[in-house]
Amino acid sequence: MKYFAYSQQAFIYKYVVMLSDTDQFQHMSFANYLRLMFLATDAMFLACSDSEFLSRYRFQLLESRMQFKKQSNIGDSILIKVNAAKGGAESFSLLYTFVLEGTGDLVALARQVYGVLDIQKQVGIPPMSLNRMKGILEPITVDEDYLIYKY
Amino acid sequence: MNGVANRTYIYDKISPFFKHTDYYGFVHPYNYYEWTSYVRERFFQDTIPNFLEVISRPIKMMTAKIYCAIRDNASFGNDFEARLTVGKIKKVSFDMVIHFFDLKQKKVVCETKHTVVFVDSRDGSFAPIPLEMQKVIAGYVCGE
Repeated sequence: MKYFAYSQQAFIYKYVVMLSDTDQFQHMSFANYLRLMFLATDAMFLACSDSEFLSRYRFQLLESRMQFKKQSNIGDSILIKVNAAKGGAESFSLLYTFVLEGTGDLVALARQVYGVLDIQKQVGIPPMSLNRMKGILEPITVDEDYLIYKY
Repeated sequence: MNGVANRTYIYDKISPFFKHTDYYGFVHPYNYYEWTSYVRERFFQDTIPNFLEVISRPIKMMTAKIYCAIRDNASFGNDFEARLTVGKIKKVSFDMVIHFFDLKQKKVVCETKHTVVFVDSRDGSFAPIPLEMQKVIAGYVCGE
């Protein structure tokens, strides 16, 4: 039997649920979790969000999915842990784990697949061929086979 | 669209405004999620006469999962027709599929699919789909 342990890095984005996030059922409405997912993604790629980079490359969302596990209420502090999944030369996948700070309760799981478009040539390019992208994605890349959840 | 839909609910009041566009002038994918919620809620209001009474009961409808595939770019000024059909119906849940048809480009630019589940708010257990809804959604099942 083989035992192993490895430290896993992730990008963490924190959000506190506000009154304006909730609907008539007193929970955060589902579309807001998706908004948070895009906010977390944008925050993670801030280093690639200067006008020089954005004038050359465009992130293109290809598909995304989310599973909802637990509702959240006003004042809940949600931690959104973002990892990149191993594999995929032409695109990259991000894995999102939404947990409640304090209790660690799982709120949602999500996955997004992105491509990177060279705007001038109008062709997709391997994300890891861009050093700045590599610098963001490589440290948070995980092997999905060793994860507790299926995204 | 896969298969033949029995009936399709059409919601044709979606217009991307500037606030819906991204840095490059295309519709930001997040909006399709938000429009998905508008379309399904309009669908329920238009097809279930006592929908407001249904949602006031202890059995609550919750979104369990959602999927979105972007097929093409869309821009400001491209009006959409959202075409809703119903997918798999189970005892306590069902799927809804929405194709966002760009009326200017004459093609589907996005597809969303989401599953709603019914939960008894008194004890947190799963509950059957309310009868009024069962009757309506059966007519919109998309044969895949």
